[in-house]
Amino acid sequence: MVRVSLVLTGLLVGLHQAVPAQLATELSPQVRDRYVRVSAPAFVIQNVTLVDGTGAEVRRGMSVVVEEGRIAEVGQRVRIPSDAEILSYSGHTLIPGLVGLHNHMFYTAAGGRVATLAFSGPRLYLGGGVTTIRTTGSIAPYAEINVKAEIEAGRIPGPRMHITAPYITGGRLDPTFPDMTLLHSPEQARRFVAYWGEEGATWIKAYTNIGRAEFMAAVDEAHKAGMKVTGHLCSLTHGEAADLGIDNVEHGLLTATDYNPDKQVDRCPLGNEAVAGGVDVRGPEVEAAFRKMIDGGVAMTSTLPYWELFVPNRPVRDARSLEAMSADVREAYLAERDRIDSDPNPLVNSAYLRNAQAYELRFAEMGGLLAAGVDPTGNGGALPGYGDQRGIELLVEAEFTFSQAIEIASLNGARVLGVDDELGSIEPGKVADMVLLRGDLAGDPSIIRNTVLVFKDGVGYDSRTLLEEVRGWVGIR
Amino acid sequence: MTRTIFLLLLSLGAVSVALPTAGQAQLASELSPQVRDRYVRVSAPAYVLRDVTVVDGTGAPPRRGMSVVVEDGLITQVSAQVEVPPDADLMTYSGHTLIPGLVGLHDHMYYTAAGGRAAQMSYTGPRLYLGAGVTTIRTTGSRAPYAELNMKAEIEAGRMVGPRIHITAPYITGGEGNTGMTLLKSPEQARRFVAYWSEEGATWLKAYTNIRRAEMAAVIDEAHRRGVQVTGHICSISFSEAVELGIDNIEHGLLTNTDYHPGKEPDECPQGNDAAIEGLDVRGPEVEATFQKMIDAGVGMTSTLPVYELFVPDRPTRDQRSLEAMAPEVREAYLADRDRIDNAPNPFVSPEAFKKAMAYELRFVEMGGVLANGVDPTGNGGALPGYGDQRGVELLMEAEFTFAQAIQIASLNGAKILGVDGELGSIEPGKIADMVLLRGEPSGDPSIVRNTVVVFKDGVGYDSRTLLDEVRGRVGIH
Repeated sequence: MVRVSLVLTGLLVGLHQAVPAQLATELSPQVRDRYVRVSAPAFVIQNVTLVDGTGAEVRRGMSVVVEEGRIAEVGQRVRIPSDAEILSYSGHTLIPGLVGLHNHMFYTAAGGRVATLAFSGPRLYLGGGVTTIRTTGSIAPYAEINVKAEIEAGRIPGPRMHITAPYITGGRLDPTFPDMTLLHSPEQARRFVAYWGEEGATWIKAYTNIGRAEFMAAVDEAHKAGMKVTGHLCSLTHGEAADLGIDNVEHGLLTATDYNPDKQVDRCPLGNEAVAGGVDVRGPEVEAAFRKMIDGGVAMTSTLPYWELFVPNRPVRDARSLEAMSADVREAYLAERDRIDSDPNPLVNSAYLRNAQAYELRFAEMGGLLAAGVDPTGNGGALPGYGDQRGIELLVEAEFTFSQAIEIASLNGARVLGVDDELGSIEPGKVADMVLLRGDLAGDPSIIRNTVLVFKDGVGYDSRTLLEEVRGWVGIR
Repeated sequence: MTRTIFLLLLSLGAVSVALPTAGQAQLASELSPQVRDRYVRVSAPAYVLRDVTVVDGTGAPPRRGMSVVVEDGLITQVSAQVEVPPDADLMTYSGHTLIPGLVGLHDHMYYTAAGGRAAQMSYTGPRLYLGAGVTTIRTTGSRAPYAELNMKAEIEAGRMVGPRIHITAPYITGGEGNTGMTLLKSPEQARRFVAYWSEEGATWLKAYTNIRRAEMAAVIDEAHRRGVQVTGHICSISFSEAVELGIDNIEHGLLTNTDYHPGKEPDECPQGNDAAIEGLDVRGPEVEATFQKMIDAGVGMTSTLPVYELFVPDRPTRDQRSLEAMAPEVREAYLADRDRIDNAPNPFVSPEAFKKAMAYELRFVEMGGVLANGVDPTGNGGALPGYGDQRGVELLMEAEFTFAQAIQIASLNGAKILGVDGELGSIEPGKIADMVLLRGEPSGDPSIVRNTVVVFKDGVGYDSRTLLDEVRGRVGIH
């Protein structure tokens, strides 16, 4: 009896994600008056450079018509609806709203600080151009469920959220990350998945010490409930996880233990970054792992902005991010970066990072579905939104084109989430989630930082207002 | 089918959860070497503490020149003359006082500070509680629930140092908001919540200020069917209403009780409760009616005077030890907030309201109510785990309880509410040897409770200074 009504609730949640238009009239006055700059039911953005998220070539001199929160027309010549507001943005570029697949609502920083980002997170993501996030593991789960509800009710600004349950792992407690659920039996795994599915989670995130039996139970229970599973893995290789039915794997090469000669069943070997960092990414082992993932429909999430934080002598002192941090967090982060820059044996060296980039390029070349996310953890240098933007720069550094990098960070994420019919690209019929960037594309990926307006459901939010509010707050709330 | 399995698991889980708190002594030999070598100062299976003043936690007056015999983690004799077991270590502590390990009933494992900071105290919490003499805590509401479940398991396995922990599930309340609490929308959701978290190991639930009666009734019913208890920091439901609904314990005392608010609507948390309390006579019939209901139903009250004091102007709330324990930015924000409060013309808690809250608690005990103590390390962050529990004892004496009564409130009464007073909470033969050795003798100066030297849990003596020194500069971080 109870179960039936819960299944119905699950369906309703699914529907809500598929039919999302939240028009300006549905926002609370405090959100509308403070953050919204474009609220017309119909408008045309004229004369912009368009990167539509499908990977197609850049098109200049384009117009995009939006009606009732949806993209009605995209072309050089468009039919202008009566009463449409005309917004001419020559010298600007329009991209789809970014879809961040490793976008926590909590933050960890150098020195052991951890904060739920209930205030700064939604603002940084939306202001930074990320209109959809998957939380990909939580510490304070109800806080994230409530942030989503507040955003959907129009009471706070923020991205669409796909809720991931608390982390699940196995074995002994890791004192550096003491907040995860330690699963000790398949029954407990099933109970965990059932409960959090009923609370609103649509994804499960497995971590580095998950046991095979518990993982299989979690995947089975999740799929029965219409949920999906991703993982930052180690005790399971990416190939094993694909065989066991995972839907997505996080972080790419440096967490793949498929190539580690010391890998034992259900054990997480130490120091995998160094082993994986030296793998021949064009060799047969990698091809075999990728073939398994591609045949199994398993996507990979790139989190290059996270890995870069551990590599010496990288441009990781982004002024905007430093200003957003609270003073104590900034100080601890800069000290940690100084330490890394002079570390002769860093956790990740520049060769490993390059190889991780080449691995992701190879995966996409073979036909794999690569998405992107920031992962605002580690020593805290990659912030929500800003770090997602950095991800695009790093994908371009990995030799994806700008159009491909945008596709990875938008449409591919929507594909992994199963919302690509509605979201992820600038095409007629889709929900108008788009980001207006100052500057025309001239081979400069840093244009991604120039967010002017962020449209969600065709409502244009002022990027600067959102971003300025968080100054000094990251690491606190 | 599936449900049956869950219920079976639940009952097994409940048994295994109850055992360690109720009776298994964790002897020094069961601790990991890293805990034993670093923190343990007394590890003998049998020993005698000689020539101490005992304040035994039952409310009895201090007794000087006493000896206490501990064998295999249990207190076996308490007397001026004892039979010394063969091979027992003899430790003479003239000029010292022995009290029961404190039982803190509002002792979160997270912390909030001025300036909006919040931190899970996975590192500092267990050290501060145990080091300051709190050997048993109830978490009384969580935000990162698995962190607290994991900590309890680590402490019970001897891999981490810390107090006994009675796990409280995440907060439950009603309404809406950008909050870390669970917002219950229906009695069915309430039952599902209770079922899940009790299966995960929670033995208490904590209701908050906007919970409605329908969800509260479902929570209490489901909890009691599972052997779990319910407390609350309530407002939308008054104390009297909560007692009628079957609550087991109520937090914070007078300042949160909406029984006396003339504009109280059902299921609504009214504004301006402080004004309603201003004209209240704590010795009058209204208060007597509330207390009689609570006492008849066996509902205890938890005093959290240390957290209220933080909002009262011109109080001694700049405890040097606490300031040193804070991270620099937390200390700075706290001191700035205290300066603001000292100059506030309309403080959140006036000196008069604070005094009345004390008198309310005294009256509750006079009438026969079970009053317990807890720190509540939230608000602007001035009341830290452990140090704040000690401050609670001092404030209870300011409220005109005797030292022996204040200790009883902060130890045995807490054990009574937790249902573990058969094993814990006082220094009596047959009980588990959870005790705190204080430097000095009770002389009317309540600050003796700060002088922790050795904290015994299961008869194992932990070095207070080592535990407390480790947290310097870390509160507010982790």
